[in-house]
Amino acid sequence: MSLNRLYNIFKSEPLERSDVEAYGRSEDPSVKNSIEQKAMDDSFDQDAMDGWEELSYDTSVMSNLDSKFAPSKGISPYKLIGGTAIVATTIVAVIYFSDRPKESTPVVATTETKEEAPVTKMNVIVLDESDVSLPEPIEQMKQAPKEEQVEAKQISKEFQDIVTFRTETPPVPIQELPVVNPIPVPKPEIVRDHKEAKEIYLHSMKLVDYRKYREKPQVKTKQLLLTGTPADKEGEYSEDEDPVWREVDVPYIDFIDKSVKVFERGNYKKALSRFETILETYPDDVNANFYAGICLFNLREYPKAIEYFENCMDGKFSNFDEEALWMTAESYDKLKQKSKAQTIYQTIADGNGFYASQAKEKLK
Amino acid sequence: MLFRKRITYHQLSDEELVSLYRDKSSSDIVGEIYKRYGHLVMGTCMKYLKNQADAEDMTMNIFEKLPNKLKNHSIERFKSWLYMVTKNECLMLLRKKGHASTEITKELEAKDELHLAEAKEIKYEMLEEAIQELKEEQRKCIELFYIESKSYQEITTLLKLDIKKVKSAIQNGKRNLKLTLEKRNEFKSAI
Repeated sequence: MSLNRLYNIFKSEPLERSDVEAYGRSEDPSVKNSIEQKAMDDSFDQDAMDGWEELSYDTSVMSNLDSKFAPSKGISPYKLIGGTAIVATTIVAVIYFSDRPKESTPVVATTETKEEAPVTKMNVIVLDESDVSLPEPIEQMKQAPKEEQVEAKQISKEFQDIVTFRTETPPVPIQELPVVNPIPVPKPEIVRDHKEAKEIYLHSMKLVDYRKYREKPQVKTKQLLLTGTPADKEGEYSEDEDPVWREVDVPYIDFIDKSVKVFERGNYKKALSRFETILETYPDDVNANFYAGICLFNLREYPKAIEYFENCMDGKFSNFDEEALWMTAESYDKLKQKSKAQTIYQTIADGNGFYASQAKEKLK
Repeated sequence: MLFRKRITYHQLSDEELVSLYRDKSSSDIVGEIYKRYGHLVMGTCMKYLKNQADAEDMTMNIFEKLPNKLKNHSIERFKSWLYMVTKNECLMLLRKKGHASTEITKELEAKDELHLAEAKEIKYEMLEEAIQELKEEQRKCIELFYIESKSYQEITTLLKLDIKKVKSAIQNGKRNLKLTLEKRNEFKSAI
């Protein structure tokens, strides 16, 4: 069994630079252990890891050395130019021909443009709309002070806690559910045919995996392609085209991946604008509604946040119901609408969900 | 054509790379060595010099001098040779600055790993027995680290030991295991 692992004691695997980097980034003990095992190989590895600890495992400090000893990861400058040229021409050709699909075949285009490409188009950087500017109303929002924010770290921890909680406490059968006091509920209870969907975690954030439920999910957005000529290659013959906004369809999973990453880093305005872009295509998207709600909560736009949390709960999937209901109550609480907040806290406390004990705490 | 050359460098062992460099000095070979060990040299310099700028200069210095050294030294095990060179250079600088009184290490570091051929002859039972013979602290640390794959941090918490102690217990435990196993192998082959 695990004895097999004993052989690791005398196994020798090189400790690579990516390991150093990963060790600094990862919180996962098993990842850390596997790198520590590699570093146990000899004193050279161990000393190096000690040194990197003082540099916070940030290997980017070696960029000067890299450019001297391993220019472009060992590829000679000629190959680099050639390689970039081919990549650039391919990208340009693809974009060019996706706009005008019927003119000729892309293969011909690649050979045609190859000659001039190295001079005029070296790099292509793709910018999403949210990278450049945010809608005016979002731009003007103000971030809540740190202590009033619900940070990504906390949410992802609660996702995990809920999973553990559910496996430990099986749901009470329907008949035994406590009868809720007949306090008038502000909104009529909506009976929803609404089920748990398949989940996926990106950047340790829970998401409904819509790839299972939508055919080819894509998000319509605008992108800017920046093609630039490096200063030293600039000559009288090169002329940069003005970058143009293009309407593009980005695969849903890619778009939300970047959005969640932005969210996780605490850039709530940018994240919000991205989630709203998703909602333009899929108004009932529970992921976008939930995370947009959290962004708005952190931007102190509580009434709007409540709207999004309610949309999230009204959506087709129930994956975020517990969290969204809790956040709705928290938002009313922040708005000092005590009675509404109390009613919801009461509902949560009467259930036997993850937030029940916290809700009871609030009711005291 | 162009790519084949790189692939071959990539696949060569350190020692093969060094002997190839003696035949034809190519900066690509130094590049490959840098790729394999640059971060180890940099980290080690940082450990000894405690200063990022110095560590960077020193790493630069070591790799600049490397071509000459590769040609003029006979090198058996490249990695431990490079470790020795790195340490020496750092200690020399510290000495110049008047910080260090340490003797320059002339010996190569003892090999920590067993040769593969030897390792294959080791049976589970032997390894298990050898582990049981270790001192309590070393045994616990080795078991947690290698069998249960716990990180230093976790072991530190579990055993309520200082992280430095955990590291050295694993290191020393590993060395003791190796010694025990080597003794037994000798004994076996003597029969």
